[in-house]
Amino acid sequence: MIKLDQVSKSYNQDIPILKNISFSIQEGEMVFVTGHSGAGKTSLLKLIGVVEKPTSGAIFIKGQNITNINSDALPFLRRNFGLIFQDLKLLMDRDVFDNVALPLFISGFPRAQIPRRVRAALDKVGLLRKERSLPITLSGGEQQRLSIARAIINRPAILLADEPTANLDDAYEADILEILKDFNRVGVTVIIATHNIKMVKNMQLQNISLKNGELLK
Amino acid sequence: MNLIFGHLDAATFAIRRIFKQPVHGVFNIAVFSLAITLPLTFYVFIEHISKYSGSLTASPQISIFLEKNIQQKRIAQIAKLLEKSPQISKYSFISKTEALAELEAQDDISELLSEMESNPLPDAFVVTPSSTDPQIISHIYEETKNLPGVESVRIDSEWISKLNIILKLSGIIVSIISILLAASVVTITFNTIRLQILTQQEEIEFSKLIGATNSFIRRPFLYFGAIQGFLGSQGAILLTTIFILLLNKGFQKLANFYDSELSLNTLDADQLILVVLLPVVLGWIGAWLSTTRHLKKLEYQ
Repeated sequence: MIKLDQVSKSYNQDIPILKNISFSIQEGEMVFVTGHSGAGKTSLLKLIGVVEKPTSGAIFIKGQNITNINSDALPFLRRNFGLIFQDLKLLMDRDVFDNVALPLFISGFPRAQIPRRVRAALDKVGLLRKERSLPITLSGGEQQRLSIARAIINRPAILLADEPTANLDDAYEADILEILKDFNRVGVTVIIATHNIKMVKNMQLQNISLKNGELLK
Repeated sequence: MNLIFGHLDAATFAIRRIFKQPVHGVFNIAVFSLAITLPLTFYVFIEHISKYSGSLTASPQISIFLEKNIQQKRIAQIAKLLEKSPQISKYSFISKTEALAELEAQDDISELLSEMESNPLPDAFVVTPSSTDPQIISHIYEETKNLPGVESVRIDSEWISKLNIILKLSGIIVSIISILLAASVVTITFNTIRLQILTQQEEIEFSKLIGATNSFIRRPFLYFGAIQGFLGSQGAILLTTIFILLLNKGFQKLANFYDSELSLNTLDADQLILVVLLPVVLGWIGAWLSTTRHLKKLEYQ
């Protein structure tokens, strides 16, 4: 499903963020990417999510080398991913419903079916009653769940979550992880970047561990 | 179907944007209107003066002075040539005796002429061209000046040529002003859209990351530029019509002195279509340039 072959990334040529990373993730797996702050977790997720291009090496998604993808095909490739950003990237001037509906408008989803699909996603994350609320009025946990609903609305093949439980208390953390596990159970490949080692140990899932941009295991 | 909805959404979004900041929107549209009004009013003025000069009743005349000792046979041959020319509407022959008699009739120089031993005046033809077109006048001049028996040719109404040159020059000035103001409309739109993009930067970046195509992102901004151009054109039409009506009041007073009619016409159908379409296209171009520049920064790299 996802294969990285000797992938490196540097923004400044002298300081590599990721060095010769190689690993594979099978379809339907749930994987953690761990490491301390600055280890390269977010950069790795950006490379897999076709947000940024590797400086060297190759990344294969469903057998396709995405590193040299042409600009016309890029938006359609990106629609295979559901992205949960560390900073959430919620649109504060749009209500909950419109935030979740945006990916459907972008992908040209049939208009008549959008409300039903959005409400189903909001129901899944427990925000159905707040569909007309603005994100600013939601709690941290609710905002996190809103970003999950938006990430999964297009039923992506791969869900990339960057620190999805950061700044949340234990109850919210378990809640969010349970939602992500639910998607994994229906076949979505889930990759979660976290610095929360305790959570990884509890889950007993495959762990890609990074240290100073290098793969530990 | 989705594409149609996409365009409807983009247009609705653009209209909402304009009304979201009404003061800003009105000022932008006013700048558009003024930028279009100036060359448009000038153009209407020049076009009308051009037509008016073409219909002037004071037709230019060309005097063909003949050699002093020209024979009657040669005069008849020249008369025949003038008769045949399609560029000449009428001509008359004024013999040197008739010319002298006319001059002698004027009190102020009759004394001077009586002291001369012989008639100093030549025989002459006075020719009226079929048109005031400077090219036709010039052609008659060139054709007649080298005829055997012709001493010299003089065009009496050089002012018509000068007026035509001024009108042509004014036309060039209108073109230059139009190009500059078209560029300014594109620049204004470019900058307005750039500011719009800055306020929606996060949304644009996020949309790109989740698979929005450039055309999806660009579309509402293109409509925004085009709608601004359209509203600007409406303002320009209104302003130009007001200016024309005001100018006509002044012209009418001037025309009364010459017992003639002089008034500018309001815009005709062709001009209206152009005035509406051009700002829409220019607004669209400005928006396209602005969004394309921004989207280049968000390329996969």
